[in-house]
Amino acid sequence: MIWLTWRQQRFEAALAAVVIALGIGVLVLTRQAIIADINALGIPDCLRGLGDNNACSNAYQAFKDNFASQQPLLGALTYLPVLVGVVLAASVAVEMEQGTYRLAWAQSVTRERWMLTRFGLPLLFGIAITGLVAAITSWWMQPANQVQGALRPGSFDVQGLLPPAYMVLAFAITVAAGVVLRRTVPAVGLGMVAGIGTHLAVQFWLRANFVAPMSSVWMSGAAPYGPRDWVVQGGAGASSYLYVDSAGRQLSYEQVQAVCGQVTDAQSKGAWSSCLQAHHLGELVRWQAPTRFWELQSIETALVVGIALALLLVTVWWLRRRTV
Amino acid sequence: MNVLEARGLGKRYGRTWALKDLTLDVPGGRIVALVGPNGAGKTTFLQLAMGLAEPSAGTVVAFGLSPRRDAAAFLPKVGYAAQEPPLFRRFSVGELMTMGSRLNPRWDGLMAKRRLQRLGIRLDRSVGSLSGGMRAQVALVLALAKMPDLLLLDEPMASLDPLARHEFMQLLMAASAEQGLTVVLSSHIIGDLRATCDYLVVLTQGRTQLVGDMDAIVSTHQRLVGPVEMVDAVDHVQEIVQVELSDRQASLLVRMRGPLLDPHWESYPVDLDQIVLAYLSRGLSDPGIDHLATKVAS
Repeated sequence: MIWLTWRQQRFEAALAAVVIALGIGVLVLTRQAIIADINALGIPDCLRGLGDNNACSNAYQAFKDNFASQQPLLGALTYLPVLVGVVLAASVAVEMEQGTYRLAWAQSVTRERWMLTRFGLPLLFGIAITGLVAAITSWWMQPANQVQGALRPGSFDVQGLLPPAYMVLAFAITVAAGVVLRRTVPAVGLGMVAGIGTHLAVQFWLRANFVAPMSSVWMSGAAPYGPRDWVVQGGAGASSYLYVDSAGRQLSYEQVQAVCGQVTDAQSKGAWSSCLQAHHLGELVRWQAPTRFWELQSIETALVVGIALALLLVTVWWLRRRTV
Repeated sequence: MNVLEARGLGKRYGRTWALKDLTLDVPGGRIVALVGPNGAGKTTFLQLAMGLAEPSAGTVVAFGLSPRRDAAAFLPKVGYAAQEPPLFRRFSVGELMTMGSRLNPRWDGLMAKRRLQRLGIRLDRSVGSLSGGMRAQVALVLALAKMPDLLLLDEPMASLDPLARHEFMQLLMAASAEQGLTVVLSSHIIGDLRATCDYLVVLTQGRTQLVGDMDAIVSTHQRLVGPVEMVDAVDHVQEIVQVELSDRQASLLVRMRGPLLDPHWESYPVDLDQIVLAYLSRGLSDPGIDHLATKVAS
């Protein structure tokens, strides 16, 4: 069965290996530039608490802006595991569509052994290569992590356990769809769409609250969170704000607008700040600290792998009971 | 000793029964012809016997082993080739043989090589480039090289030319005689079967119409020609399979249950084609007439 699995999937395995090798090459080549940028901005002194507060704040911002040029690479690294999972699972969907699984089942191979090898080997291979990429990406991200932390969406997704976890999920979705639908194209499409969709849903709606975030009411002056914290509510650049008055009641942005008017330019921004102070209104901010990296990684991995295992169990049941 | 036993075997897909209440014993060392029209349940029966499908009702065992529950012991003993063999098209013929040798504890690689050579199928040819007949031959070589004790073949000769068909049947007969191989093959071509098969199962609409030793079937069936008004008298003693009436004469195809004593009737031998056709049309017309009758009544 091992020989057969290799013979059936050697093309996909080689393809995945080539893509992964290219990715690793890019990572190795660009890491030095990131370190040079950090040094040029004087960030190492800031991290040791030696720099001027204002200058350091600007340096962090400048690094963030420069690092944004790596966004396409980070995006590719984020969804590469889904692609690897789908590519490795596609061959099972093809077999279901063409009916060739019956050829193996008519040899002296039980369905259970067929499933174990046909699913187990690609999964192991996929975990190995996405795990390798995640390890190298974590090394590549190290300098940036020291500046902006490892929790931000984009950073968090390409490091640690998550790349192999999402690879396993995409594999399980594609295999389950292939076995039930017996059509390659819908199975592969579903694997991509549901794989990426689950990832986005977890990233935007669930991840911040896996562990209750730290929170504070920010009146004025220095932010309560540090440059490496991941701000999940309020703060600079947030899309939704919540305010708390002196009695502890929460007010929406619209409610505060009714009192303090709209922010349109620098002048109205100043007026807005004084208005907030006059009414004793503070902004509610919530954040996760980078010390929770492994805690958050473990919870998300358990969730994603749990869904994948449930799908694989359905697949095994279907192949044992329903498939002719 | 029976090699394959089905008891009340049935398979339902959705609401329709592809096979219903089939009870059948296949004795060892025989070459069994499974004959029936399209949709009779031949493929379903072979899939159930191979363990590719699971019965909705009843049981099937080979060598006392359940195809699914005892799969690990069952599979090495049984060879199977499907009607349109699902081969890996991107494999070469040689790679398919490698697969066979790696996935089976018993494997006659030498036989496979010789046979492919005889058929003029090179090992380095890609399976996708073979003709339908050649692919069928490759699938049969795969099933034979597994060295099974029981070989299940679904329409093995449908895409073979007459010469290849003849040669293949010779091969099966030799394997059966020398190694005691039991073969169950489905077919709707009756012509070739008399010479090679020694056991017959006629299946229509998921039920058996006729089961038994080929020679016994041929010798116990006769055509009787006699007066129309005496048909009832024959019916008391013999089993009438088919009736053809003209003005005053009746021509009956009967299965003889006892000696023919009535001098009004003349008997003639019948060949296998006629017997099988009679049973096939009986299997088809009976439910049809019932169906029509209920339709008229309502």
